[in-house]
Amino acid sequence: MSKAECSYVRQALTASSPVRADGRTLLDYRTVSLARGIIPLANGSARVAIGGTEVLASAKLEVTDSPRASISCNVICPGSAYPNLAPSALDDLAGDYTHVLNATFADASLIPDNLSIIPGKKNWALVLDLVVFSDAGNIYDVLFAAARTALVDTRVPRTSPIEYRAPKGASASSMGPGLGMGFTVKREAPAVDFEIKDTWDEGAQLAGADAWPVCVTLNLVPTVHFLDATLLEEAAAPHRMLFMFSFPKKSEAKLHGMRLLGPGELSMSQIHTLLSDGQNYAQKLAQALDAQLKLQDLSLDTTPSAVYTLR
Amino acid sequence: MQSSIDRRRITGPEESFAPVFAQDEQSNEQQPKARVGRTPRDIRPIFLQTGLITQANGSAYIETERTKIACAVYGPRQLKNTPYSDKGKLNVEVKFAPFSCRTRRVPNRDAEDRSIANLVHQALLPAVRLELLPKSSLDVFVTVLEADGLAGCVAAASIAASAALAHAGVEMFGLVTSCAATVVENEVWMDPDETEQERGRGTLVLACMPALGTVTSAWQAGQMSAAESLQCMKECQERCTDVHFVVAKALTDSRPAT
Repeated sequence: MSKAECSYVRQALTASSPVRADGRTLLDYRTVSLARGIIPLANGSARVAIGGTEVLASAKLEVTDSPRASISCNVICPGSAYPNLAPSALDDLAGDYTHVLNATFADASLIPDNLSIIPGKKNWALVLDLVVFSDAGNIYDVLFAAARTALVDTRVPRTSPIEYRAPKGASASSMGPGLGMGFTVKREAPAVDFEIKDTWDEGAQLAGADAWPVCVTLNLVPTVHFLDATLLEEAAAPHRMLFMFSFPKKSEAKLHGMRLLGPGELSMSQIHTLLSDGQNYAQKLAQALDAQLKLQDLSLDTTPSAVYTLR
Repeated sequence: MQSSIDRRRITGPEESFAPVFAQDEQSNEQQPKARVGRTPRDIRPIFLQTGLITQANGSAYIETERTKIACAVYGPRQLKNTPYSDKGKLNVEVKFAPFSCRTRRVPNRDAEDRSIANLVHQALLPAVRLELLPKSSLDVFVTVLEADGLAGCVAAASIAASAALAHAGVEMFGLVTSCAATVVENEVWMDPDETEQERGRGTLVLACMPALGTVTSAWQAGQMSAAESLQCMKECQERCTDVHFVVAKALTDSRPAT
């Protein structure tokens, strides 16, 4: 991007009647398209595209012996999405995106209740893998939208714990003379194993669907801010601020993450206005994504084969 | 397939775990509600000295209770292999010493090092006048000797890096200082250490230039309301102004007598 191009774009954005290359207003998003449940082998999946930026997210559940359930994210940036970058730069970029996603989703308070199998012994670990198919600007918003949709789409197989009991013949006196003389043996928690009641494509919906955060990127030029930048606009205005908000139904909006990127400074009063504007934009984006999800018209309590016959 | 079991030796278990000390288990159970040792608004006292690494163009060492970080700046150096760029390049590398955390850290670079380096880079980037250094690179190397909480580490690393850059004589718009805050239950605690950060439900690290009154980097993780984050930022900015005095004094004290 030459200096002349960047200055041209910036002038158009800061003009009294701002103009963008594709004719959008400053706060318009490009077309958002969303598909869920597209990967049959994953517990939850989604593909979200905003304009030319497309990300595929898949959620897989694994059983761990750790005392707590966990959510971890992993972003893969293949060379097909970034043909101009060297492999080491691709790894660094993927690492940066992974860190931003993990910092938000790995938060302990976001982990839903039905991810635990035997409390304290066996839990589900949810691994979110995101693949960037193409990047035409505004990658963070798309990454978070894809992660959020894949999490809403995730089905957790229902489990029931199994208890092992000693056979009827054995008793304390048969184990030897020492026991039964006033020793208190610590009784361990009975459930040590579990069985899965659902098949691989059934299960309960992952709880806490309204608590997943959505990300909105505000690109900053000295007098205004704008949303959903294309690659050229991002090169011309590298200063941006990311906000991750969630809007749970029963309480007020929560801020899950905030990040300033790029060479630029902000005063505290500017941050005040950006924060309140960011919350409004995030709420509208969340509502739009939820509306698209409803349009997919999948009933969550029926199995996919029953949904097929319903159609 | 024959597994290669060595029958002549006593082999240990394949997996090993760090020992859990009984002292740790006990302290987890009795946690006082109020902050121990400081008021919620207090930051830990800072010791900052420049000139620790004589080979480097500029260096600084910062110590705040249990966080010890050394920073060295090499530059401006010529960029030999890359094409011409009219602005300088600022490279930040963070390395944790293997003995810096409770469990031994592998000396290889991993993703956490890079994420901290990115945060320090973002704090410094708006302050350094890179347009005066064409075709050059400024290398900032941060070595963490002891870390007490990630947020405190990032804040201290930013302060040390800014002091080292000033000691190296690099032109900047202003000194960058940084402060961390965490929200525990409904209170804002400044400059949390590791246990306090784990107790908190949201952490915020703010880097700003108190001389100009502008913010260079704001990073928040965890859960808090928008109003709480604004309150954290306001408190952080006030503390950053206090830290600025410490850094300025350390720099003027280190000037060689002419």
